[in-house]
Amino acid sequence: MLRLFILILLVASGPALAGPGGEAGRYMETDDYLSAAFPDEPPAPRTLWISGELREAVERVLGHRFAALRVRYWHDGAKSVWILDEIGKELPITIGVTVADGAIDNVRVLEFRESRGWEVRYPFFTDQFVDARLEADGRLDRRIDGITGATLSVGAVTRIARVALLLDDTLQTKG
Amino acid sequence: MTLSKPKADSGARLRIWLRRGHRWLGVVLVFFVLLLAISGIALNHAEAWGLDRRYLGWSWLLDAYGIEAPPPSASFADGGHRATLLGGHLYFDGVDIARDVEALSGLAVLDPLALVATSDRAFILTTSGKLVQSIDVAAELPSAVARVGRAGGVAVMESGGRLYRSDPEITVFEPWEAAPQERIWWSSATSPGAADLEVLQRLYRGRGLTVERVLADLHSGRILAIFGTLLMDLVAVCMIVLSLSGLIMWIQHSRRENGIVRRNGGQR
Repeated sequence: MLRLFILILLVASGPALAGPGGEAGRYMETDDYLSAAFPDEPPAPRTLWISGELREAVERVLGHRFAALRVRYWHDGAKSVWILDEIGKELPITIGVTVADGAIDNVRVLEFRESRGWEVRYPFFTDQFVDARLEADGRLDRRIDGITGATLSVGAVTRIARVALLLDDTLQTKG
Repeated sequence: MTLSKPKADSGARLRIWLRRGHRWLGVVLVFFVLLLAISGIALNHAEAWGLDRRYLGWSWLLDAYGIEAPPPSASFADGGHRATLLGGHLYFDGVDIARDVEALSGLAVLDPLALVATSDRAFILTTSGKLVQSIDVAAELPSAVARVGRAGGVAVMESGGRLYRSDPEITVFEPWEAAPQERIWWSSATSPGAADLEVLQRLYRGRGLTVERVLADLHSGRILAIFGTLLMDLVAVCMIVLSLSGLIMWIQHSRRENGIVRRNGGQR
């Protein structure tokens, strides 16, 4: 009984024992992510200016001012890759999103810099975004389950997934 | 009859002392209960209320916490603009553009744009300090950015012994094999002036202490170091005494009430 109690305590205190920094770090390099998205040869990067109505739409999704004036993307046919930063609590999380035919093909957390919330890197969370599309009101067409203790990081990844779909839609509309 | 009277007196004395002690303890603890309750509620909602992202800039408080700005690790100037790395914060002309930065490699100004490069990231800014784009150059360069320069209206970076140049809008970097070395101006580290440094150190200190941290220290008493912690321990003990004395008085009162009701044949 005592052993069971100690085991429960250890499991429950796991995140706390991880201490500051926990599992934060660089999980995947950008070129590795691009190679996975474009197995033949990654296309040259292009730039999309975030201005006018697009900026308003992006900031509506983010719920705050979008710091950059332009973003980089990689585009080949119906597939586009976006590497975007979004602040979880204090520091930016670098997230890669691949969009194919207007739906999310893949979400990966490339770098996590804060001490808490790094659980969003795991596939059990990121796989929820696969095949997600944007509704007319700018929301995802499905519910994304959160992670206890990682609320802000979950929010950041979800917002970036929506922004990537929005940017891809702009790209496809522009032709 | 003669034996029960002193017992009754001592019971009455105890009740009087309990009531007095309870009353005074209650008055003394009002301040601490309010402090703990208010700070506790605020801490419970710190994230939602943004208290973890709101900073206090009072000099005396920052001094008391021992928050001091370190000297700059690197600083580069070009075209009347300056990029400085101080305590992991990257500043461009007094604008905090990034945190958690390990090394600053250089600055090149191509008016109206400026390129500030760290070892693995290029920040493209307007000369007024607005972020245009942040590029993860680690994906395109063989190793960390060694130095930054400009030549004929384009930005140049050196990495792994090779040169890379940008387009005029600094959107991409490509290898530059036949670079005319004599035409490249390379940025080199210089010390910021005393006035600039003071501004940066003030900015750095101003981002060192959140409202949440101060509230947590008030709540635990750590704001007064070991004395505060002991004081809060004492307050906690007093609260235990207050609750127990209240409980004892309530039990005594209930017993007396029940005795009176019984003596009156069920009538209060």
